[in-house]
Amino acid sequence: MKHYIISTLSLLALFSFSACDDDNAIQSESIITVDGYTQNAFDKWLEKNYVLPYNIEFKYRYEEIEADYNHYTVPAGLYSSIKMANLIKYLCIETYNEVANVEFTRSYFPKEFFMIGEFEYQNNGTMVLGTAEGGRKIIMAGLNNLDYIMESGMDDLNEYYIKTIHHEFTHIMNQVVSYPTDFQNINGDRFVNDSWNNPPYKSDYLKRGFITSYAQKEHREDFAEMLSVYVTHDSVWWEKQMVEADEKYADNSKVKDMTGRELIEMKLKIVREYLLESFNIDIDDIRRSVMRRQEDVENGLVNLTNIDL
Amino acid sequence: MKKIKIFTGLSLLTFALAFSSCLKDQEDLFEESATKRLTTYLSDVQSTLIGAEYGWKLSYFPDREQSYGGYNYTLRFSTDNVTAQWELSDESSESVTSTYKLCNEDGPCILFDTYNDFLHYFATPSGDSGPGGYEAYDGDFMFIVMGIEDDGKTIRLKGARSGNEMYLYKLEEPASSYLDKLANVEDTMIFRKFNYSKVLPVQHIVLPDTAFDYIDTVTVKINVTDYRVFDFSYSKMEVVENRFEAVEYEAMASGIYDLDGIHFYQPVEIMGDTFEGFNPVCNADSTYSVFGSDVVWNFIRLTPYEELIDGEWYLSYKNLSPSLQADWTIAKNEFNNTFNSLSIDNCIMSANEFDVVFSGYLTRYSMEITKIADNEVALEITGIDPEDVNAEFIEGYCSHYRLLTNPGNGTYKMKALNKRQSEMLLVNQKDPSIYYIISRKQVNAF
Repeated sequence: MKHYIISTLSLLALFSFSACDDDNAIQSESIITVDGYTQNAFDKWLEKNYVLPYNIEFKYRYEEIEADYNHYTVPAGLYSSIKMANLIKYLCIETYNEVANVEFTRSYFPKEFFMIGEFEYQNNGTMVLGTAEGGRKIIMAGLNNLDYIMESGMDDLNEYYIKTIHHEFTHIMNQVVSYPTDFQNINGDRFVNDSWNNPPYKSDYLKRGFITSYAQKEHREDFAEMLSVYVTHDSVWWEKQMVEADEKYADNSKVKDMTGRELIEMKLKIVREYLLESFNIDIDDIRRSVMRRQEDVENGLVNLTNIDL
Repeated sequence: MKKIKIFTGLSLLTFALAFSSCLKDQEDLFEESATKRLTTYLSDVQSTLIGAEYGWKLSYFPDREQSYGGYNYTLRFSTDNVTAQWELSDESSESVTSTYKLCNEDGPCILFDTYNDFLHYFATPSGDSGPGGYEAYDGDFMFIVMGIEDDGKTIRLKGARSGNEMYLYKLEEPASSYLDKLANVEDTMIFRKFNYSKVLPVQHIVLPDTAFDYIDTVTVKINVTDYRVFDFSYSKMEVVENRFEAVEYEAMASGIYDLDGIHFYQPVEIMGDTFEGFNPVCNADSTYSVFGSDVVWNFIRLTPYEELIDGEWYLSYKNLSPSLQADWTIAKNEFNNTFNSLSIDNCIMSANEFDVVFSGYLTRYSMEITKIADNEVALEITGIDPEDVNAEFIEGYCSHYRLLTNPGNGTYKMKALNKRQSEMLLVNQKDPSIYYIISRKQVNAF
């Protein structure tokens, strides 16, 4: 009887593997759809500067599946996308190549950028500048305002775009290696979730120990703001913030006897050690590189519309 | 026994697989695979789009309620790019080129996938409140292709976001020529208010304590927003819970211009009359005709004063007199230490107040308008305490919101600058160097 069972199974296998051999005809035909647009000069530049060296996809053409369904979004303009691709390459990617190495950038830098034209406005009057998803994708919002914002100078360029990349990249690094829980305990009872944009939290955040108003949202955001704000501003600017933070804030917090400066500097120490111990990167090396590169951009030494191969 | 069961089971399974799979004799519903059919269809759509010598006219309705009316674009397609012109440009020849692609999202789609100032206007959100704010104007930039008419001259579309039905019509003449003709039609639409009366059939009214015949003459008021959205309102006498009383009715029709007039997105029915559109050319007897009905409408001419107090107006820096601009420049210099820039981004005036947006921040003034004559008013402008309007940002900087109050107050003569009375000049009677031009259309600040 065992023989029959084997024979039957063999027969079954025969049917399984020989069935529907007409499929071969389908497989031999092209399944490329007209979705596959012809590569333009910018696509070829992206292939050379993002895909081949870093395996990073820079999506500037709108795809519904990539967009954030919770907001009304529009595509980014081609010209703004070219500028942003050059900015991210010079100010972020090549900074991490310089202060760590190319392997670090290849391993940890987000694998996908998706550009959208406007900021993601919310019904409470706030707007989202960018989001990071699953440690691999950053949505860059507000591209169509790039020229206008660049006219206002590097502070605004950082505020609206470049700091956002360092901020989101910090989240990605945090997903790879968690930061010490000590960080969130420093002034943890002062986080206010979505009220960060409302009075009284819109002001005096420095005295409460936060480097930005948004940092008050939660400890994850606080950590990302600490790192991204530090590396995108020079020591003079930072010290000015520290002077303003050098007061105690009267509330019921357990740290009400400490000045904002003391709190921020305690957190900065943890951020500094985190980068050094987890990734062997000196936060001041990042800042020096970013500052030098920002100056190059400000002085017009970087051709932001370059898509030459 | 157990072995026999296994054998029988396996035999049956083999039999079932052998005879039920690969039904070679079954006739295929389609000759080609779904992927190939979609590819072929999208290729056909693209060939049709590229093949039109003068391009296409897109009848576009933003918003799932069509609250803003419809707008015409002209589009010329190449393999990768689309060049758009539209009816809202100052110059009909002005065009913007961007990329597009044909894709498969909920069906075959045309997606305008990089930003185009014209094509994405109604879909672009902002930080403003109300229309054009975080939900934009609920406009589409991805369209599901519902079908191509047999003659290849019409493509039926559905907005992927709004679900609105829209159409691409093959142009028979150059885009600029078509848009110029369209602008001429739009220019004939100079009134915003109409009415007509209708005598209803005799109603036999029965109430608990009485009965009588009643002939109702109903006046329908038509208010036209942006010269394309028609709001109908009327009241007619009806029996409601044993009382004979006036019942209010409202309806809306959203229109789009074409060379023969305005066509409604959907016909609107008012007391048995169906209106499909409107002809903005005045009849010899000073009435206006509608499409789909013999009913004619009467226009209501507003005086400059009536225009001023009706609806919203926009003011911008460039429409201030030089003396007022000088005041703003002083203020700008004064506040540069606080704000990166100070400008009138947008000023929306309504009957009794207006809001000025300074570099994204809102300031509110109240405005008392007193009629002196049909073309003369007294304006009294007062800055509203910022705490009342939650304008927390200007605490401590209150002086800048009073910029308009001193020079702005006084008696003004009004003069319409066009037939539509959609632009008005207000000249201060005491000091003619102080004047404003206000507009129904939002204008750029500078």
